[in-house]
Amino acid sequence: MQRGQTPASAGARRWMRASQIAPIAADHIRCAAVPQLTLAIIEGGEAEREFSVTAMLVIGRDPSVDLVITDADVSARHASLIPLDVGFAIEDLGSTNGTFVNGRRVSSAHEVRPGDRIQLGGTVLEVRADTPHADMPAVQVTRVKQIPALPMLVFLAGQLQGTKMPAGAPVVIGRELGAADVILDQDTAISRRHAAFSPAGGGLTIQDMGSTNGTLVNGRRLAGTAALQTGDRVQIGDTVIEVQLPGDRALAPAVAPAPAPAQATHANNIEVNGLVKEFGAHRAVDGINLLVNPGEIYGFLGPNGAGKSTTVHMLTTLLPPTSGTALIAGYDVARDGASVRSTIGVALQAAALDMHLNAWEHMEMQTALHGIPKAKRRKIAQELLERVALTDAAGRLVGGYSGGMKRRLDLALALVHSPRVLFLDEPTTGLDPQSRTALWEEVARLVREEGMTVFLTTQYLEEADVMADRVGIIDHGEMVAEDTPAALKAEIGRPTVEVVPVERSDFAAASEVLTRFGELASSTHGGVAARLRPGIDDLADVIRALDEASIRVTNVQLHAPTLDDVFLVKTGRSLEGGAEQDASAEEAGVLEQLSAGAGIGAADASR
Amino acid sequence: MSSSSVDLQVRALARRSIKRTLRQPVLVVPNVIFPLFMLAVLSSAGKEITHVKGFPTHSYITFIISATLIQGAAGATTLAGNALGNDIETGFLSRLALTPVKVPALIASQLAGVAVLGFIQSVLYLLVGLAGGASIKAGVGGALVVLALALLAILAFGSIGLLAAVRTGSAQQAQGVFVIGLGLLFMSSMIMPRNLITSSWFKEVATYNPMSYLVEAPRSLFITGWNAQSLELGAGIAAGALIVFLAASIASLRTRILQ
Repeated sequence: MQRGQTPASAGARRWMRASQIAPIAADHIRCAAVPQLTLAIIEGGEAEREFSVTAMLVIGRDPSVDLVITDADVSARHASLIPLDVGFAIEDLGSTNGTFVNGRRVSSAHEVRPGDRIQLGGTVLEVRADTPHADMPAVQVTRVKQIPALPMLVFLAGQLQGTKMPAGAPVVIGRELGAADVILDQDTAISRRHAAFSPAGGGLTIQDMGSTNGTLVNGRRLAGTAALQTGDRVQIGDTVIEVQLPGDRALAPAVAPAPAPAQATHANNIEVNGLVKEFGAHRAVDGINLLVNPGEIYGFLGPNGAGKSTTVHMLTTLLPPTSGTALIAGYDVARDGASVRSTIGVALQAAALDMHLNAWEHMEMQTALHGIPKAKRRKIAQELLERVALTDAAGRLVGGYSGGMKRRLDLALALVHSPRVLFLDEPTTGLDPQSRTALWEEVARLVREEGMTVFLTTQYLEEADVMADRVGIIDHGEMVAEDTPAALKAEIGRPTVEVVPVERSDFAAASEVLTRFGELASSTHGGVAARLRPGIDDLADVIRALDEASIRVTNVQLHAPTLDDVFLVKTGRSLEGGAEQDASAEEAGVLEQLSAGAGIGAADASR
Repeated sequence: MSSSSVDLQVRALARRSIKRTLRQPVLVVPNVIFPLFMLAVLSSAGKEITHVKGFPTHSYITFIISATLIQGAAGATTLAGNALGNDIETGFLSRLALTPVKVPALIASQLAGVAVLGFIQSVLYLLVGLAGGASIKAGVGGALVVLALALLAILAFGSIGLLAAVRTGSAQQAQGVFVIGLGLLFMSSMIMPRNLITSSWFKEVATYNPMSYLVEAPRSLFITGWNAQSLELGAGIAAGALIVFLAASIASLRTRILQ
């Protein structure tokens, strides 16, 4: 299992050594017939305890189900195990937080096999070969008692991305083993003992421990100690941690797509079927299919000229599709353009602002064009400008704004008419990390509190990782991958070890050594790399083997899979680095097409 | 959408257009100043022309001031084309296209800025001309009609700039159209009455050049008083151009940005 993939990750295990999880008790319930499958709880319950399952089994939090898991992240009737001719399948029963098998969310009956890991909320069950032994409760499964409600730390980005862990005791985050409880040793921006989370009266506080690079809370540098609320984001180096406090179910665990927020409706979705866009002989978008759920943040990634911007332009009615359909909140982009436009908010790649107007004037114009009564315009403008922290600068001409301020104003303008679906085309390109984090915060809030559906294109893979519930990768106009970031990374799976020998003459020998641990892969540091075989995750073995072969190395690195690795595998190219140029190139292409008037559809008589 | 909503849209966009235009002195000032330079040069250099037999006035500045007004109006091509071209290039037009804005409202409002600026500069030219010795035979009423004709010409030239911007999608290319307008102005009866042009080809060109009639309409008010034919020709050409180019701009913009 990859680091950060599930709560059973190494980071979580490290933490568990230092934290206090209340013991979990079990009692037995009946199950029927001949054993066919063995389940072991490996996280969120009695670790390594096994149960034999023989018939259909409903798992959930409700006392009436067969296997009761009163973990607060588990729904009343969460999932069921269904017997097949051979083996079992698991089916999600419409749970809030979803059911995951090996990190991938299952939407229909999904066959499970030995070795599979099933995650329901904070509980992870491992499917094992049916080898019941004497002390195992035959024909019985276990009723798991509730884990006491604890503050939770959800790692949204960084080394432990995807990990969710309770904070029932003080947790020190740092870089050095022995000095901290959670070790983030891959990030040099993190100090030995960087920051500490401490539970306090059912809540949680954060304290910077004199770190070199500081601790950011919601984008602001922390001075001393601060109390945290649900949804607060703590940034330590590249690691972003979201806080969930007990009793507040507003946030979803990072490892699962966000639950449908209270205000989300099924009319907020995006449905794309066989969407095609041709510019003359060039097919820019080639029959893509998408389904973005209400209240979901969907990340759309793609390399040079992949068709991202063309897709966004079609979905926002700025370009007519050549064929296929796209429904936004139930409205057809080709036939109900006006309805689509009234439903969506759009912040395109370049913040399209008038440099000679100030923010108030932009807001006044935008609200007027949307037909908002004059009495309400000022109030809306004030609220939105305050929300994007532009009130103080609202009287200044936009030409004097920084890139971040322009982006924030662009976002505010996209929201004046309370859209249900928000399209963000590379919203944080060129922003400093603090502005980027602030914008992430606002987008997350829009989804969480207003139930907005967000379609996000980005050149920052970290952004997709942090923000997106699901990610779609488009290449040459076709969708090549789509899933949760965690599942995509899990799919390509294995870490890569990379060594740089001191002597060039040792490269061949180093390659030979590495092939014992996995197949050779492309190196990004001018050395030799190998993707490790399953089961090999100990760098020490590699180093020992190199030493035994008398190969001196200047650098040894272990890379966990990232979205860029996913990108590389799926497209044969790396997005990092060339992305900005690529995105700009595609945008320029679309603009060129718009400028030339090519492919523009029939006039809208209503205008 | 109700008509009041369209009014609201026009007002909102017109406010923006006016503010934007007046906040770009680097773009605006040369447009205003250049015709004044031409007025100064031509009125000084052309004094002798008034001695030519048949020249309609002894004051060359009275003769040339109408050309200055139309030259200033021609600058609207640059301003309007630049404004819309910029909106296309920066994506601002896409922002507007994503609102319920009506295309006629969008186009009409784009002219608001140049209309306001153009009217102000026309008043300035008129005052400078009068201060320099020009006189208006048609009196105060004639002066108001001169300004009205100038405004009509400004809107007509502005609509040409809009069409150029919509068709090319480029502020720079839209500005290029102004050069053609300037050339046509010099090939008109701008500096000499048509009946006194000795070169036959130039006379022919000036006769078929609509610029001649745009210049001659206000000129008639300065020199001969109320001349219905000149006024009708000048106003008719300006209004016709405005209608044709505005309609073409609206049609082009509809197919460009909206489906």
